[in-house]
Amino acid sequence: MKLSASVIILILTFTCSFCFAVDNETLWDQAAEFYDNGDYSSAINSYLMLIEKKHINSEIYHNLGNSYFKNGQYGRAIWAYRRALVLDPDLEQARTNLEFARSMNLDKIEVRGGGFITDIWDFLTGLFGYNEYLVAFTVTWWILGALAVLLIYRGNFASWPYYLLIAALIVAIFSATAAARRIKIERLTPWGVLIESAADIREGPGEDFERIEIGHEGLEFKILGERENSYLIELENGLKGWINKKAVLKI
Amino acid sequence: MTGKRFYVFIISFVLLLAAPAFGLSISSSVDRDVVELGDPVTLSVSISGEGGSAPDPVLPDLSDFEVYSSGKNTSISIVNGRFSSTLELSYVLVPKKMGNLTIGPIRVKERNITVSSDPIRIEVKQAGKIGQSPGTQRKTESIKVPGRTENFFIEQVVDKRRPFVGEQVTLTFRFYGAERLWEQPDLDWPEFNGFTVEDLPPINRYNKIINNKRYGVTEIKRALFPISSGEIIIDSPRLTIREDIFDNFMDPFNMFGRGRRRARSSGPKILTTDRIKLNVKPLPAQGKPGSFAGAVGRYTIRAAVDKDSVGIDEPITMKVILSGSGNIKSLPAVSFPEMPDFRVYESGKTESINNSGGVVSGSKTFEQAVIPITSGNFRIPSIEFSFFNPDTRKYQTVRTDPIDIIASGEALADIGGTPKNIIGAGHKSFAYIITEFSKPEKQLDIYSSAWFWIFQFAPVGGMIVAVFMRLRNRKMMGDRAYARRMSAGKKSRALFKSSLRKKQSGDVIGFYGELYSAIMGYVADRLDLEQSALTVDDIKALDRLDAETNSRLVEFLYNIQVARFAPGPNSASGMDRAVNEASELLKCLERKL
Repeated sequence: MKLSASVIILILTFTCSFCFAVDNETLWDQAAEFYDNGDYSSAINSYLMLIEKKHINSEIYHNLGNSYFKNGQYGRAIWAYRRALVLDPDLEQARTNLEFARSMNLDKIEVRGGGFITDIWDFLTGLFGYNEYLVAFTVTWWILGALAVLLIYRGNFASWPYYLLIAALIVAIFSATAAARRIKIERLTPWGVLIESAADIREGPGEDFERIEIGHEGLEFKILGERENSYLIELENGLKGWINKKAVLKI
Repeated sequence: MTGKRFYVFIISFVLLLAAPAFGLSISSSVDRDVVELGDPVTLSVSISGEGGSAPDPVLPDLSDFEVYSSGKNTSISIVNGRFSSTLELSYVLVPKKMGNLTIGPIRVKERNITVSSDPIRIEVKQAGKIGQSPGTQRKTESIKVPGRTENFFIEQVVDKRRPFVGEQVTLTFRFYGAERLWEQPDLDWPEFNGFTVEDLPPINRYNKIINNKRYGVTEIKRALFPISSGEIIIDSPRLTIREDIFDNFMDPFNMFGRGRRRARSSGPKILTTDRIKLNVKPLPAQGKPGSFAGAVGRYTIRAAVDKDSVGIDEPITMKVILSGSGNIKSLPAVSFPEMPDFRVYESGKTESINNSGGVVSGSKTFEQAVIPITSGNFRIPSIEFSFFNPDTRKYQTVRTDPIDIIASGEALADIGGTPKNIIGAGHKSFAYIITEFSKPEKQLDIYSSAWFWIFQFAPVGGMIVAVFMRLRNRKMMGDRAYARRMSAGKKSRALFKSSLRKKQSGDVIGFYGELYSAIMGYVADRLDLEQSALTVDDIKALDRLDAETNSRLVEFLYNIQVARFAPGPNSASGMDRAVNEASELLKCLERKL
């Protein structure tokens, strides 16, 4: 008797779970419907459920960013767009909407540039993602290798392949350096974004320390370290301080 | 580079060059402009500008003064979309001569812009010529106080004994000294429990004759603000002094045997005075406004915005400034009104306190960023602030004027509502959600793939091979024997193939001739011998080969010569055997030579 009851419960559980289980594509469509109807909180929940179910891609994070944006949660929107760009640096929609979300942040931090050369360098190394720079490096590295083989075999260095080799070497070094810089910035340095409307940036980890600044929702920063309930952060202008972990989402 | 990026770069570059020291300003002031000779004047310099650090000023010629730097304070703000900083410096100037002295313009330079403050005139009079302004007087008054005969004593007095809660009570501490001190005295203030405390500079020094004894008086004032009503005791301060004592002593090196006077310190002596009892009155309950939050003093209020016409989602900085006299630091925050058409962010508060003149005064600024959510004409209602005025013993309420704001444009949050792409060329629109369902994807990091790194080593391998080939070629060019040795196999294989072709074409003599050349040529090349002069007998005499191989080789060569010059009837099968034998012999020779 006991056995048969257990079997019935098991069958019922399985049937119910089957009935109520929503496949990922349905969840995705539902989220878009919520979004279109202006129910952004439900859209957020649906996208978060997909992420929880390990159905992760750049499109989900982009849509989640849109839902956060339209729900007025600009800090979380920035976080979602940046997650989307980590997964797919070429997702132009996420890049565009990230600019919109960033424009809602109150803290416009003036970064004192290191001068003309530094600005040029930052511009050139920021044109593409690190994968593009790595591909460029590989191509020029192979060209460089082929030219080197040719020159070594022929033994005549005063010829056009030599100058081509020098050019390929310069491009290869630049591509490698740019890729290394972008990997360091985008992949190796942890970033955070402020998700509360305002939070204190303090001299030390805790409420007892003096406040240096007030940061506002959407403020982005590098995370240099952490202690108990605080992160040590660095703003783009080099200002360092401690901020409560609860106010931050790690990207 | 996309077109837009290029233009952004060019514009950024032009702005970078064209925006030196934007917003840089300097102001200077002195705490008084009429002083006695030798009296200090405090010069305050304030430099503000956009950016993370304000530059240091260049002081003018101040040879008419002794100059002491007395303080430096930097404040940085990143609120309201701008990053600004203020540097405040103060200097103590002591005039060296009388007359009208001028502090010239103080300059500050950043990049190519120089700004300067206005010059300041100071009238320096002879000591004792200035009237009774506090802080500058150095008068001597004569009074009689029964029982006061000590050389050193202290006292403390307050200006009122029955203040209201939060009302300023000025405590005056005086140190009287009729003799010299060995060192500067050490003052320990009491705890001042039940008060918030502000210093009231400057320290006054003057002379006073009490009971015909002349005292130098040092006077220090502090502002006390009682926190609660009831009886509060102000304990005595403790002043530790060491007197300067002169006595006679015998100098052993003085041959005339006369004593000398010397100065030395006395032991520490602690001076105290009477405690003071205050009866703090509570604030009256009658007439207390609903907006009263505990402020006591005399205040005014005003509100200002940095712009009153903005686009939607563009922040406006709204400042509410409370000014007046009272406990500025403890002023409660003003209550901002409900603003449903705006998003509101706290941007911070700043204080400016002036303690001169024996009264704590200044201003407290509350700053908020307000962002219109929709377009339209809006009115920020007036903000009211209530305080208790101890002079009139009544509550007062002050209000700001309402502020009108015009917001125009389209809200950013509305742009992505429906699939739009209408903003126009050169302007990106908010991208709509992606509706096409995609499979999960992993982060693409080509540098984390092993194949990527293996791929990078291939050109290195090619270069190594090229170097090896290059060295080999160079050696072959310079060493004939080595070159022949290296190419022996290739040549003999070519001849071997040629012999096979001749065999197929039925050229028996040619076949054997080529086969003979292939074997003999190989031996000659490997041993660097002249092939044309090499005979079977020479081969027989070779000591580089073992006897078995040698005899096999000699026999093969002999048979070939026989078959070449005297072919028999079974020439086809003989040729096959010769091919097999030659092939095996070549392999054997490759191993042994």
